[in-house]
Formats: sequence, C-alpha cells, structure tokens
Amino acid sequence: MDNVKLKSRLKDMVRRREFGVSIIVVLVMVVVGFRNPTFFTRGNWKDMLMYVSILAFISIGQMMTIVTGGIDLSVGSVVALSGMSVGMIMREYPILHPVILILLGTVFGLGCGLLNGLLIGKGKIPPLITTLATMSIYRGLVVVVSRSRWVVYGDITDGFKMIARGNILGINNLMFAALIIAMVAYYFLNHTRKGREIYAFGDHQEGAKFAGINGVKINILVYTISGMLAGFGGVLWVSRVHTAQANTALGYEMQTIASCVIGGVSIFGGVGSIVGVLLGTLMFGIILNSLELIGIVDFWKLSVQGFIILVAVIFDAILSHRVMERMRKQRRMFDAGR
Amino acid sequence: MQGVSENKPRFSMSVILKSWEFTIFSLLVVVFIINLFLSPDLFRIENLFDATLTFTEKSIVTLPMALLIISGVIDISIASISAMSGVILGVCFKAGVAIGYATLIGLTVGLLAGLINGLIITKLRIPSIVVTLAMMLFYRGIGYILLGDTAVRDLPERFGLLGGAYSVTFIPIQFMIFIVLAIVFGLVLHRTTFGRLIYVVGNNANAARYSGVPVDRIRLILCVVTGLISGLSGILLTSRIGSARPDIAQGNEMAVITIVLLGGVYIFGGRGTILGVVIATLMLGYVHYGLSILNIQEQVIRIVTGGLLIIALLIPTISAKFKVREKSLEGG
Amino acid sequence: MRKFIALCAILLLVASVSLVFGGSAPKEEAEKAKGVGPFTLAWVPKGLGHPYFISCYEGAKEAAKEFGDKIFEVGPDDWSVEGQIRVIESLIDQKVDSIGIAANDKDALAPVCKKAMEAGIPVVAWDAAVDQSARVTFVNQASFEGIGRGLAAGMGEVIGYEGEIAVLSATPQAPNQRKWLSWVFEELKDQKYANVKLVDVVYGDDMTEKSYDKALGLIKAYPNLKGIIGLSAVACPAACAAVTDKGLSGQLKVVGFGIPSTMKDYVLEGTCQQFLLWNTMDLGYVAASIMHKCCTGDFTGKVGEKVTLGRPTMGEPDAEYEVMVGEDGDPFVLLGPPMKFDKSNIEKWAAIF
Repeated sequence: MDNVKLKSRLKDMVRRREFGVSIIVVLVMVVVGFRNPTFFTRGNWKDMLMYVSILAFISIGQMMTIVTGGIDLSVGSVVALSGMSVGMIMREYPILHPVILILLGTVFGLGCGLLNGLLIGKGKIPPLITTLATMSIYRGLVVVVSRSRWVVYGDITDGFKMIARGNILGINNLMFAALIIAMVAYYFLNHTRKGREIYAFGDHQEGAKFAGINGVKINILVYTISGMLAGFGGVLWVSRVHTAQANTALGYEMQTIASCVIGGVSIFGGVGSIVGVLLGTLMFGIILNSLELIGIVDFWKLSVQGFIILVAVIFDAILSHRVMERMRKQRRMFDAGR
Repeated sequence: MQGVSENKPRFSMSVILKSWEFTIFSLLVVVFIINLFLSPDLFRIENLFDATLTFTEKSIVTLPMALLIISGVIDISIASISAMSGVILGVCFKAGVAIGYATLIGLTVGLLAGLINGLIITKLRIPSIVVTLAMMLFYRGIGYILLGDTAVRDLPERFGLLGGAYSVTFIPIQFMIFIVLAIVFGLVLHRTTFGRLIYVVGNNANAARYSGVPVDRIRLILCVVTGLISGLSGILLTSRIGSARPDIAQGNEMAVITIVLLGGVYIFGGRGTILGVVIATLMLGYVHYGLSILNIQEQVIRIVTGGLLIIALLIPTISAKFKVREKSLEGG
Repeated sequence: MRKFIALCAILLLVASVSLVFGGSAPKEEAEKAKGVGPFTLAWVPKGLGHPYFISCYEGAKEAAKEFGDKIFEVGPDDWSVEGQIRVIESLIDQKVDSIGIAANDKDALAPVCKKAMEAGIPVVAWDAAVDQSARVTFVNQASFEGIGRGLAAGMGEVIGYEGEIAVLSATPQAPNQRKWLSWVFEELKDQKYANVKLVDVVYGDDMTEKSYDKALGLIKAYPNLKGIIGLSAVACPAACAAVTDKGLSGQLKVVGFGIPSTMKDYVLEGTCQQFLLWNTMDLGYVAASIMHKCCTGDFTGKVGEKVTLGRPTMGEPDAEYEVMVGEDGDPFVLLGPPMKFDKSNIEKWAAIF
C-alpha cells in the first residue's frame, strides 16, 4: 500500500517536474534571445535541433537503462565505434546505399549493447562498472579498427551527407527519426507488457522477481536497446559532422545522463517519462547553445553538465526522502492510533 | 563419507580470497617473465624502478580507494580531483604564490573536494556512484575554466624533483611515497579498530548503524582521505610533466578501480586486502609498461584494462556457478 | 579450478592483445657500433589519424627505405601532451636510434627530449619544435614570418582590406601556432589593414569536430564576419565545412593551410580562395634523412652546417640544406618557401597528394 502511494506521489511530481522544466526552458530562451538575437534565427534553431535530435533518441535509450536502476556509460564509445566503422565501410565501398550503412551501424550498436546486457544480466556485474569497462573497450576498438586513420570530409559520399541534411515530409531527417523513435518508445513503455515490466523491475527488483518478471531478460533488453540507438546515432552523427575520429563523441554519455536527469528520470530507478526526456534534452541543448552564443567558451561545458546532474540528483533525493519521511510518519501515527 | 564433507570448507569465500592474492601474485610473476622475454633490458634494476614512474601516481590513489570501496562507497571523481589540484597549484604559482605554499593549497583543494563528496553522500544519502559521476565532470570542469587551453609552465626545478627524482640511488621518490603510504594504509586497515569497522560498515551498513557504529563519519573520513591523496597524485603528475594543465590524469579513475577490484576488493564492500591491491598495482603497471614497450597505443591498452576489469568481476559469478555444481555433485 | 580459469583468462587476454594488435617490435639485442646502420628511427607526430601527418610519414618512410633503416610511427591518439611524453619515455626505454618529433608543446616536451638526448638518442624536431636545448635541430617547413604574413596578406586581399576577421587556430601551446599567429598580428599592424579588424582567435585543438564547432561558433557570435583564417591543415577544412554548411560559401572567405586533396572541393566551390602549404612528404623526407645522418654522426646541427640529401625536393632543387638561425636565435633547417594553392593549380596538386 505504501509503495503504491509513494510511486503515485512521485509520478505527480514528475508531471509537475515536466511543467517546471518547460517554464525554465522558456525563461532561458527569453534571456538568451535578449542577449544575442541570433538565438532566434532559423539557422541557429536548425543547428540546435539537429544536435538535439540525436541526443534525444540516444537519451531515450539511456533512460531505459536508468529506469531499471542501472546506467549506460558506454554510449559515447558505441557512437564512435559505429560511426567510425560505417565511415570506413563507406570509404571503401562508396556505392553502398546510405540505408544499408544505417542498418549496419545499428547492428554494430546492437552488438555492443547486447554484450553490455549479457554482462549485466547474466554476469551479474554492476552496470556502472560494466559500462565503465566497455566504455574503454569500445573506445579502444575505435582506434584499432581505424588503424588511427580518421574519416575525413573528402571520404564522405554525397548520399551519406544527405542522411543528416535531407528532409522527410518537410522536416529534417534527424528530427523525423527522433520523433518516430520517441513515439515508438512511448508506446512500448506505456502500453506494452514488457514496457511496464521495465518500470516494475526498476521500482523494486526483488518484488519484481516474485511477480514473475525475468530480471535477466529485462537487463539484456534495455542495454541492447540503448546500444542499438547509440549505434544508429553514430551513423547520423558522422553524417552530420562529416568526420570520424578516435575522439568522436568523447564524454557524450554524460550529456545523455544530464538530459535524462533534467527530464525527471530518477537515478534510483522506476521513474521517468519519454516526454520528460525530450524536454530535458531540449533544455540541455538550449543551455549548450546559449553558452556558445553568450560567448562563454566551452570550458564551462563540463562543470555546467556536472552541476546540472548534481542539482537534479540532489533535488530528486531530497524529494524522495521527504516523501518517504512523510509516509513513515503517517504509518507511525496510524500504528500509534491503533 | 568423511572425505566428502571435508571438501566443503574449500569453497568458502575467505579461502577463495586467500588464494586470490596468490593468483594475483603468480600473475605478476608471469607478467614479469613475459616482459623479460619481450624486452631483455628490463633485467636491469634501474629500468624496473623507472617503469614504476609511469604508474605510481595512479597507484597511490588505489590505497584509500580500496578502503573506500570496502566501506561500501565508490568515488569516480578521483582523476578530476587530481587534475583540479594540479591546475590550482599552477594558478597559484602563476599568481605569485611560492611553490611550497601552492603545493599545500593544491593538497587542501583535494581534501576539500573529498569533503564535499563525502558530505553529499552521507548527509543527503545519495548513492556515491551518481554523486561522484557528477563531481567528476564538475571538478575537471573547474580545471578547464581556470586554465582553459593554456598551461602553466616554468614550474621551478625543485618542484620537478618531487615527481621525477630518485632518492636512494635508483628508487624514485614517488615509489617511496607509494611504499610508505601502502604500509600506513595496510596497518590502518588490518591492525586498527578503525580498519575493522570499515569492514563492518561495508558488510552491512544498516546493521552497523544500529550497533552504534558511526557509519557516516567513517565514510566521510575515507572520502576526505581519498580526495587528499587524489590531490597528491595530481601534484606528483604535474611535477613530473613540469607544467600544470587541466587535461592530465585522463582515465585514471578506471585504472584505479580496476586495480582495486583486481586486488581482490569486493565491489559491494566488506572484503579485500591492501596486499592484494599492491600486488595488483604492480601487475597492472607492468602489463601496461610491457605493452607500451611494444608500441601499442594508450587507447588499445585501455581495452586490456577494461577487459581485465570485466574478467575480475565475472570471477565471483563463475565461481558461484561452480560452487553450485560442486555442491550438487556431492549428492546433496 | 577457479584460480586456473582466472589465470588462463587473463593470460589469454594479454597475449592475444599483444599478438594481434602489437605495434612494431622493439629493437633487437646487440648494441650497434656507433655510426653503422641499419638504424631504428622513431617517428612521433603530434597525433595519429590526420592526412597531413600521414603524408609526412610517407616521406619519412621514403627516406628510411633509401638508407635501409627501420622506421615506425607512434603517437598519442588523443593528441595530448601527457600522451606524447609517455610515448617518448617508452622510446627511450626501447633504445631506438633516433626520434623525430612534432611537439605538442615546446616546453613540456623539452625535459623528456633532453633525457633522450642524454641517453644518446638524437632528437630531430619537425613541423613543431621543442626547445632548442632538447633537440639536435628543427626542420621548419617554412619561415614563420613568411607564413604569418602570407596568410594575413592573403586574407586582406580576398576581403578587400575591409571587415571583421577571425582566426581558427589549433592548440594554443603548439610552438608553430604561436609563431604564425604573432606574425599574422604583426602583418595586420600595417597601415593598409586599417579597416580590417581581428575580432577573435579560437582554438580547435587540431580536432576536426572541435574545430568545426568552433568555426560555427565564430559564425554565430560575429554576424558581420568577413573572413576566417584556418591556421592548420585541420582548422582550415573545418572552417570551410562550417561556412559551406551555413550556406555562406563565397561570402565568408576562408584562407589557411590544407592538403590539396582535402581542399580541392572547397577551392573549386569558391569557399576557400587560397591556401598555403609546403610539400608535406618532402618535410618528412628531409627530417628522416637528417635523423639518419645524426645517427651516422654526419650531422650535428651546428649553425652554418650544410647537409646534402638523397634527392632534390620541392624546396631545394639541389637537395642541399643549411642550418640557419631564426629571429630568436633558434637554429633550424628550412624546408623551403610555402606554396600557394588556388583555383589555378589545385586540380594538378590534388592528384599528387
């Protein structure tokens, strides 16, 4: 009984959180736009939204892992590995259709994610440590696979460039992809059994087991999805910046975590919404964009990211502690009253 | 049936641990032999100690980290604290502060960083993983904000001696620092009440709390010490390179955690020895050294480090499977 | 049983990594009598992966082949100072015969290069120098003044000597960057640039993506920007990409460095009006040849010393090089004058490198 009330309270808060974040987003936009009107230009928004789109769907993958009480630190490396591999294949075989390259990248990402899932689900290694290790392994593989040779602008075929630059139904490909993935993810998480199981598992791992939910399968599933989305993102990334190097997407996982955390995904697991993630990503993208436009160099990026994550986590913690305390007090009063 | 029941003790955790140190040690020997084979000059004692320079800065942090993990807390911001301390030392020096004081300030910064981490973890009851993840970005970011793309060069020669010089003939000062610290930490962990309490806290924090053990205070102290030693590590690195820059110590946190876990410290706390950590330090250090002699790149070596970490963590799972199988074989 | 598994697993991992991914093998036992080859030359660029350094290495390999020496390339894949220092330390332990380095930082790399020299390993710098006390000589691709002034003049010319310009540099500590930059400033002091305003200098760390982002940042922060000087073979194409992506090709002019094959499209499209370079393969060739001659004892780096190489290069048709002294007392060997590339000659050279 307690747990149900706790979760519904937290869910209320999530909704309130989404509202709060939207307000802050609007405020930031106004302030920044005032300071440098370039902010409102179509060009700036297109750039920013293209960046945010990739961040959004990879963050959705990250969100799934965080909801199960884990984390995926290897996404940056998976983006780089998939991007570099596909870039090299494209360089070698320029006749390959971009769609094939996208599929290949997604498969590479799927493989990486599957490995993570197996190590975490079957190998019982804590997600943080696993993905910390695979982060290094995959990143190292980028160097090995590429033999330290970058993929440069001259290597990129026109067809490949169009992946990032083209439009479907009038909107940019990247944004279209993000929207489709968001909708699919929303449906999956909220309206399918497996999706609900993910939340249940994240809520209470022990309890979920008794309810017949297979934790191993859930873990394998979410990390595979996360890897898959990162692999997909890797191809789009290389198309957007027309280059692939050993350092591609270094530290990117932190951006996905920050986006999730801003968007109300609780680090303790069990709580989080697609809408929240999208809002969080947008907000994060706007913050990054504003830092550029106001002229604050990207030296501040790291600290800002860290600070955001810290604030959001502390906020979450204080909130859930407070709710827990209230529940405990109520229970005590109830017991005493008897 | 006497013989069958005698088999049981062999599979208890404590025995595995004892044999873990032995395993690591034999691995160290194997690594040594392979290195000797690949690069015969290693035979000379000077080179052996010279090689330690490449990993000592990381290794001193493994000592407090081991204690921290045994107590059930983790800190992945250590590398960022190192970088930040080095940067602040450089910035102070550039501003005219004498190098000695600048060093003290750098150490204090590390201490404070550890304190902040500890306070957030213990007072706000937030999982250490997440807190230190955020702080990892935050502290390193401070280094970049202060120095940006630049570096503080022209640090005095005397300062460079700290990281690069030798004490007793060919033994680097840094290595001596490591040995001294290892002895200190070893004594604290294995011979004092405080050390024993660390194990208790790690095994079951709640039970410890109910028994009156100052769990939070112990963890806080360990966080502070970890921060301080991370700061020291950053200062030693800065000294060896000869300039203060924000991009040092990249990836150190992974290496340190790998060494600690390979050294037999249990990731969920409650088990581990300093001896194991020291042996693991040497082993990993010489693996790294041996690989770089073959001109294998840094990032590729990280594949090995990551792989070792995973293997180290798979062992409990695999051995548990064997335990079950053996048990069922006994006809239970 | 457990012990055995663990032992095997770890051994297998280490062994397989060393065997499969192993770089070049370390030098074999016997001490070579000083002056007699074949020598082992270690080639250390600022970092690995970029076509500029790949082409330099091609030239170096050519020289090594000519002399029958062994050469291998090692470098930090994160292009960092710390990484490069570790590489040099490893090379000292491997007892290579000579080290050729493009330094990421003039002073930070000095102590470790000095250590190499003291260990009997001659250090020859190329592309980006270490402090002169830490090297035998420095093979400079072009005089700093020539490049700095040339770039500034080129920029002034294409924007009609009027408007805001910015510089996209590589890393702030790289010695060649600092020198070139100071000569750009110097040139801009001249009266004819009175209406040209240098609004910003940003650093892309010689990373393509970072440079691209920085260029985009410049475009956004300075809406009236007329031109960008891309101060390296990574920065210039990145700036061109940014300009193209923003649709400002032709309006926002770009000049800088580049490798013909990489820059071809940009020049033909009109994004980049002109760029400078030297023959990178020659640079590698000269540097590696000098490395060999250091090993044989034929070259000591004294001012005024002359050295003759195996084949003529673009800079010196008679293949003879002399050690000169620069404006700050630094002795160096000059490759030759920089070459200007634009629409008129880009096609021809893009086919070559």
